[in-house]
Amino acid sequence: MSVENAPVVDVDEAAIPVEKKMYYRFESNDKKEFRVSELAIQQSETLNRLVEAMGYTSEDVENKPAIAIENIDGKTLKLVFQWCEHHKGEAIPVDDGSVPKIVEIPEFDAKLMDIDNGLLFKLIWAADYLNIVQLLNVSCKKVANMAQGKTPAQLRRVYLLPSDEEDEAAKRAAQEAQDPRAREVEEEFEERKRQGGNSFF
Amino acid sequence: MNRFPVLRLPYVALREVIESTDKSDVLNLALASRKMCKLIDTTRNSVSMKKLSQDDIDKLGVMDRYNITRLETLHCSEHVRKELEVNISKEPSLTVKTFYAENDIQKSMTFRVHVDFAEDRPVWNQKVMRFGNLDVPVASESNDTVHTLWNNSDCGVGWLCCHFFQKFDLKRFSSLEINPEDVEYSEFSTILRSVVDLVKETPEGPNLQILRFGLLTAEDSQYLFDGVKYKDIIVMGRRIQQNSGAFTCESSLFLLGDADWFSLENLMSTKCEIIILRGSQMTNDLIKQVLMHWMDKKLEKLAHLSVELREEVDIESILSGLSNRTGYVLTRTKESVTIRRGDGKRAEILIPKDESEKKTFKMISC
Repeated sequence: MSVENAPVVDVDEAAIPVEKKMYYRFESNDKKEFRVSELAIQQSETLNRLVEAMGYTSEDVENKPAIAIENIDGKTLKLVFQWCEHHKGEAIPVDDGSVPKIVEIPEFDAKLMDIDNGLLFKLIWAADYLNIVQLLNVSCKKVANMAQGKTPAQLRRVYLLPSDEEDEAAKRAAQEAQDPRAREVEEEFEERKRQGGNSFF
Repeated sequence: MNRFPVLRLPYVALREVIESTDKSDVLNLALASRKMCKLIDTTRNSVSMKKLSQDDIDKLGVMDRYNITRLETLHCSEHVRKELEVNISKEPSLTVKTFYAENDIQKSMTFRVHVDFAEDRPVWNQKVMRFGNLDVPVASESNDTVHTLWNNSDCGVGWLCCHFFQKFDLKRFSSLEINPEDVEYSEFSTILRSVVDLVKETPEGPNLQILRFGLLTAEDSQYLFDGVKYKDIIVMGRRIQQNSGAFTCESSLFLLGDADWFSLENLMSTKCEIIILRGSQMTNDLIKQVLMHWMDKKLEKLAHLSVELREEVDIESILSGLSNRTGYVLTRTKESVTIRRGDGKRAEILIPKDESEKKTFKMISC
């Protein structure tokens, strides 16, 4: 099934589901609403527990307000639910302990994740928050693949990693911000050292 | 370039990224920053010898082993020791050994880099390995060995020695093995001299082992020994006639396997604590002179001397040299004869016990 044909839809464009199974309604933090099948929801441990706890009937789903997911926006949530619908019914993968982990990115997932890094970043946050194990696996594998064949300097640029010097400077700045007297004390110490004093106190 | 702020991911996702990354890439990631390295070591895809099992280490390739050694150096890891062995022969190579030992846990990791002449190798199966900022063509590799290609192999050995010294913060070469058999001599000589120059810069000397000593020119032999301190020296192979003459060396142990060329003058000019000479042409008469030199305080560094003579050891003949001396005390037992000099220093001469020892003169000085 292609990404475009995945059954997740925004509510304003929604057609009435053909299947008789229950479709839950979710709302993103920018008020986009989605209908997601019960089976697809099982891919997310967080949402699955939530709907189980709510114990909604078919009428509740239609009559009560959509379940709000307040820290994920509509664009990201659409990707998440497209992924869940495509992979519904699949077993949740169990870690086999291999290191590095062997994760293959299926064609559908690769196309779904053919997005800019900003959205990929949000997708990973969403997969982590909603506890969607396999989506987290494949999205993190995509990030891991960015490291392939790169030198340490290139990796610092790709992953926006501060150098040791930058980390040290940030640490010093944080310490100084925490204790405004620290800089004064340090300067005083340096001054005394320059003057050849043996004892600071 | 497309960038991704990996450190802003939640920890579970960051761990997932790290654990999905191939070992070679995760090692480069660990080299990118100290903070990243610490993070990596909190995951199962760890990069330190402390966390890696011996099985994991044994599966790693040369470049990964090189990078782990760099990481251990960068982080001044406790319980980690590194050694560099240099082999100068027809196929020169450098071997880096890294050891981890803490309480009862011991792990080791070795990689060997051969330095080959590029023209001797076909081009089609070459890869490239990056040592520091230098991309070096590589002809073939196994888990722990790689053949690097150089237009001048003498430059290759020198460059790699300096590079490993710097990157692994080494204080000394642990061993230098030399075998001039079947070499292209001018190239061999250049490599030898460049490595000896580096040895001279280190405060502690390496162990030195020479095979086919007779094939070494007098000039190279002199360059190798003059003014260079070694820890232990083992020399095998007869010295040819043209190489005979002055010889001096300084080490803790000096073992000469084919000592037929080794003269009293040579012995007197060595500055070694333990001297073992096998197959020498020395006689009881020469040993008598050695003893006299010891009496005259000319062999003060010597602690143990073992010489296989060309004739049976005759203790009485050796001791006859003392007849015109005074100021010493001689003590005899069944096993040895002890001479105490006026300054209190003693030499214990061991009496050969059986047939196998009858030609071996042994003296312990303390």
